[in-house]
Amino acid sequence: MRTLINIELYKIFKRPRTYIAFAAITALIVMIQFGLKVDGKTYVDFMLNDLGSTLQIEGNILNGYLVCYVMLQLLLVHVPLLIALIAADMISGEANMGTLRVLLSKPYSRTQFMLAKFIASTIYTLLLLVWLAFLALFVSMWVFGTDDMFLMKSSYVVLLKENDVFWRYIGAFGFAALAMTTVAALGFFLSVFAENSIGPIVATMSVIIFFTILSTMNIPIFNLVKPYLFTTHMIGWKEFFDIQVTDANEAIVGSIQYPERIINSSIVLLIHIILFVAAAIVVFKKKDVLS
Amino acid sequence: MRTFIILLFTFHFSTFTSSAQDMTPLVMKVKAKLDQVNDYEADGKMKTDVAFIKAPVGKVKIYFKKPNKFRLRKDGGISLLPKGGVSVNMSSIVTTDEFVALAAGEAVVAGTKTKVVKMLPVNENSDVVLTTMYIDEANLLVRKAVTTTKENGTYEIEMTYGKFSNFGLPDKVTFSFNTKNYKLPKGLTLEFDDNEKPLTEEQKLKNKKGRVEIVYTNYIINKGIADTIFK
Amino acid sequence: MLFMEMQEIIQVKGLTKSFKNLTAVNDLSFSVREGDVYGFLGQNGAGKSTTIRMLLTLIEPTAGSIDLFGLSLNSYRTEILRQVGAVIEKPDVYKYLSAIDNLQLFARLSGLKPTHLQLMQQLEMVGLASRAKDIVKTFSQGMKQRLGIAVALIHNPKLIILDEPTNGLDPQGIADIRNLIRHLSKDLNKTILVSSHLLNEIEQIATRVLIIDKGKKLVEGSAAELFDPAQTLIELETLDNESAFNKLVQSNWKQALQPRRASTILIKLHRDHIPNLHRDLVALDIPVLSLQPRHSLEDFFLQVTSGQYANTH
Repeated sequence: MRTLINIELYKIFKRPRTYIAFAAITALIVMIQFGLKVDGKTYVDFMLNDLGSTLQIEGNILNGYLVCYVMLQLLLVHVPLLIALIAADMISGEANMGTLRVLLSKPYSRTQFMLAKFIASTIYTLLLLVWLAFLALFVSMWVFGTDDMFLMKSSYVVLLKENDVFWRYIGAFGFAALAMTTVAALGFFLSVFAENSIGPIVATMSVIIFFTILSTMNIPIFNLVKPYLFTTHMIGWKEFFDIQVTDANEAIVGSIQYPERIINSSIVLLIHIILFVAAAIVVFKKKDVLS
Repeated sequence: MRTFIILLFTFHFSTFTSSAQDMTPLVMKVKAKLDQVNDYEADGKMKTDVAFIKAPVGKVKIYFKKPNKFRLRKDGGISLLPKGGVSVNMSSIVTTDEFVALAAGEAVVAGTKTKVVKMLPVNENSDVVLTTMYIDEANLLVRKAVTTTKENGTYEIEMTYGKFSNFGLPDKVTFSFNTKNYKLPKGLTLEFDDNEKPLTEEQKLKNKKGRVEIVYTNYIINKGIADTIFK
Repeated sequence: MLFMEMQEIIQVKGLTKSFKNLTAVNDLSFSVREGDVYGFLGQNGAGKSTTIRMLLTLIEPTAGSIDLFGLSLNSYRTEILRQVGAVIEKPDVYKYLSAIDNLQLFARLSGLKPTHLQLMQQLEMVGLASRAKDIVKTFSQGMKQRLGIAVALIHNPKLIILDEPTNGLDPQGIADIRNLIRHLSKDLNKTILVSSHLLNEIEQIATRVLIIDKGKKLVEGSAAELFDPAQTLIELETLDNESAFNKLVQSNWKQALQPRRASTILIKLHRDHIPNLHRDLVALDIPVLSLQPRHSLEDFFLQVTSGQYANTH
């Protein structure tokens, strides 16, 4: 099994396509960092436009912690597309190349193959997130420094103390890993059905985009289905950056407003992962390889 | 923020010379008491209580020097302070000294009987429309001040005194102000499912009164402060 | 009865595969013995690939049983596949990897850790040693095919399955593959199942032959029987076929004459008698345009592949 996983990872990291995702993330992050570094004040002023008329906000608002949050907010919506690029290609790409039939006539069971492939795509996903964390969090902390985190949510503002932020990022990235693995599982599942890579990649992206739009649009009829869409739960990482307050409206350092939401969403995502992968294996075991 | 504190403290040092009615002597007495302090440095804990802001208590350092130098410094971190005070052009009131101080009866503030003094600026261009002070006549302390401005609404300052009441310096200052409704589109913040928020939270958000509370823990008075701190 | 003592490497009984609206393989039974070069013939779409894929567990049979090395493929899949190397249809390797990387990867998949030298030797065998470090994307069809074979052989399997190994190759490539199969069979004692839609390819290397059409077995037998020289067929074309035929009917060749076909005269004879026929044609003053010897099996196969067989049966 280990050999299989190693071989799958070897294949993933030997192909140029894999590095598109890393390059894309690097380019995006460096670009955003550059923009914020050069003209961050304008951005902050714009953000504080409304609030600034009542409140005077002092301090290094645009510090590494906020920059990372802004980037995660922007990027985590798009990273699924980069993950689909690899995960949705895992089976279909091999079918397309013709290597699938060679692999499957090797002395391993199909279940072993599928698990190895899924684990390999998960490792790729995690590495992508580690890279994202390195650039978005650590490089930003280095470039922009650290300070309290001043976070504007849709109906309120959260101020997190500097020493109360880092652990939240660990949680957030952990959660993001779960969310992105769900995407990988979806792509992986869809890749079982096709003999070319484009179909499942586009299908995965479409499902994500479609669901995300449903999740984002604030229309009552959509709100009914929202809890059942995994994309709704994928943004659960943000819950790490909401803090509880006392009755006197004083934030409790080290608390999370809705820890149960994080747990619920994690469970929902985990169930999705298990279902997608199990379904992929069941379908694939019965499949006649005609490619 | 800075100016709001300036506003607060300039009350203490204003000289109400012109057109004072029968309340002027009281105001003068209060001023005289406050005049003992040339400068001070204080530690404090600041709490921001605005319905739509979730902020922890932060440590601050406060510096003051006569006549009106004031600085509030947070021990690192980001501070959220009401902005209104900035444009309450208090310095104009102070410099022109054109006030009318009128008696407006008595009131009880936090269990203390006070004289209510209405102070009207003479200058028509002043942003301040009216300031109402609640003066504890026995101790010569301002317990509460309410200022109405043209531009920034009404502000309320409440002071509690303790160890340093002899200097007219409060242990605790609560500054209340009106806040606008805060709302960012959910599409912008990518929040999907905030609808199931508990009702109490919603009610809290409807409360548009904001408060900033500073609790002073330690004053160092008249030991001299370098001007560079205020820069 | 030497054959009976040999182990049966492949034994297929009543194998059937039905797709939605097509029965690709229909009640097929055959067996391959140790040391055979088993020629698996049939036109495109006859069910060869489906059969081979079932042998490799890529397709699940609708009915029937497959035993390899005397073991049920269903129950001993992993053990059996360790002993099998296969090239199925087009070459199937990772195009973004180099030849040697591909070889290493598949070796690891088979549980081996070959040395660089072993890998190079393997590439040498298929004539790719000089291109070991090049990515496969840059390879010609023939080179990919040879690499595919190297991959299939890297774990030293007892049974080698080659599905249409000469497809898309130039004559030199075809000859190379043929020589390689001979080498594997004679020098390395491999059992080989090789499919093709071309009889003459199989004829030159196979020890046994199976011909299928529409998923059904038509002929199975040893090459010695099927390619019996006594069954040679001469295809004769003359200036005037009508009179030539009449002359031949009255000659010694009467018994050998086959029913007439459109533009040719067919004579069945032992290969050794062709010179005699030649002489007699001259003696009978028949103006010969062409004289083409063919094996009768080839003739039969041509009918099958051209669809004539299906029309008449």
